[in-house]
Amino acid sequence: MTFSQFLNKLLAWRNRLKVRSAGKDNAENVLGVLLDRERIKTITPPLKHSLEQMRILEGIDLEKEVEPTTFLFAVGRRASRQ
Amino acid sequence: MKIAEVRKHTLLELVEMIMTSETSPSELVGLLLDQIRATDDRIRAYVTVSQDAMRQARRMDREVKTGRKGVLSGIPISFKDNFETRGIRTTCGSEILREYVPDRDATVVKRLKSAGVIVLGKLNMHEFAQGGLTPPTRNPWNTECIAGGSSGGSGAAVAVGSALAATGSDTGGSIRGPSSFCGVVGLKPTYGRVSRHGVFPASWSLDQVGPIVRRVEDAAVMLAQMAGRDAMDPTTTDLPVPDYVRAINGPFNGLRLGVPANHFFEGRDRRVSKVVREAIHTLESLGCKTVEFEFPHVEEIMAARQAIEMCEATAYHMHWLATSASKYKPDVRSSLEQGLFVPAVYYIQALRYRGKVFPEIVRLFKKFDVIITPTMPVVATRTGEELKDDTGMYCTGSFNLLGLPALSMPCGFVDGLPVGMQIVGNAFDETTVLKTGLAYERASKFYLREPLAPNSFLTQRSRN
Repeated sequence: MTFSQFLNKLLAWRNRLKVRSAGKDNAENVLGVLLDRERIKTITPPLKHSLEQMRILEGIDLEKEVEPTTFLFAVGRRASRQ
Repeated sequence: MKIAEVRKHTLLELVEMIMTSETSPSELVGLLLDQIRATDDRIRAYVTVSQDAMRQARRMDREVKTGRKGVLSGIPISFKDNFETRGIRTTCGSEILREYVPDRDATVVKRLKSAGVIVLGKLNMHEFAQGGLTPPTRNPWNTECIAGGSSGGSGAAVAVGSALAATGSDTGGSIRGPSSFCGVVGLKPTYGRVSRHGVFPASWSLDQVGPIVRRVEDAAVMLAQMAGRDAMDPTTTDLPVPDYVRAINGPFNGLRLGVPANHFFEGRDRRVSKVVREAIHTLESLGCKTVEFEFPHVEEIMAARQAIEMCEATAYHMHWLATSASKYKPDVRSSLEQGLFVPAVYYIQALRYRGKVFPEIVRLFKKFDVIITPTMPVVATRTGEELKDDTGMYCTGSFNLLGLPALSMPCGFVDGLPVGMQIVGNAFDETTVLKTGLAYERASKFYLREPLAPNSFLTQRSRN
């Protein structure tokens, strides 16, 4: 068994455990949140729309040295000196 | 005095009237409580009215006799219900926090209290500042219409006179949108200008908090009390806080107005764009010069903002999603669950893109001093009619990703509903934004217009 096969088995086991302990058949454990088929059906159309809009991020040309700017604090200070 | 008369004055004029015994904190609180009783069954701006407000006011009556206690001595203020208020229920408009009573004040609440304000109550909002509906607040200009959100209670209360001033929070337009729909003034300051400590987040790196008021000078005085470094919020800047009121009251020398040729004026309702263009002509008549320009990368900026908000909001709500999902309103639950599926790489790329695009946009301010756009591309829609797609953030969202200060103020009407003009400034240059707003306000005097049937809303009862 490869490592990725092992990981998939582990995740599937964790999912089943969580779903069973919650007494919810036909549910998926997504990052610790249980979503049954009805929920997934409900959120799929708006999610698809959002992800389509975000796809533009894939095409953005970012130089390798560009790091994430989580908080604008540092950027704001730099701007204020301009 | 009647509430209609109170509304003719700025906050600082009211403080002067308190100091000269022309009015008193308890009279103001009494008038506002009357106004809440007279309007809130229709407008539903309030979640909680403070049971302690009159007691605080009477204490302030005694204190001001011995001198001014702060810049806003004796002024009653209402807070959006995501600002923690010690001893007063803070629900964030959610069933999940229905009984939550904080044992601390948000930094902004603490600062305003130090300036002498009285906490009048807590205002309705979109649940956790998420989702597309504004339950249950109505628009005072037409109660069939929405007040906008997420700070809908704040916009509606200030418009109908059940609050003299309020606070809001803004992640994609939540201060500016309801200000536009309700015909009042709302300011989203620069990211880092005002502490977010004790304000429930919608999205940590996009949220900013600010005032919602009737007059531009009121926004200036409120901001001056709210702003400044806070050790409890590491994103706050240590740049000095200007004396905004003094700074904006000097002579208005014509500024350069950046007017985007793309996107912002191409909204859903051309009549709204036309009203804002007329406002630009008014500013030109005051000596301003218009510089038309192409606003770059709008789609990328909006996509990055969306990726960041979806991921950060869902991350914050993970625990409640796992344990209390059914307590969320359906649209909010759906929005938060969608965030589970946004790839982490999109989030990181969005954060990287923010760092790349910010300096490019800031450089534009060499060509002009402020950017002028409509605040919302439409006027308030009817209740139950959700704003389509990105309409709610169409003109406002970009400036959250960029952290720039932006003011919304009334500039006209379409179908009897207010239209908002957005004035955007360079980072930490709230002064120029407010100064432009004040010049326009003095020329247009839209603050004198009251919601459609003022006599039905403004209580006729006189005190003293």
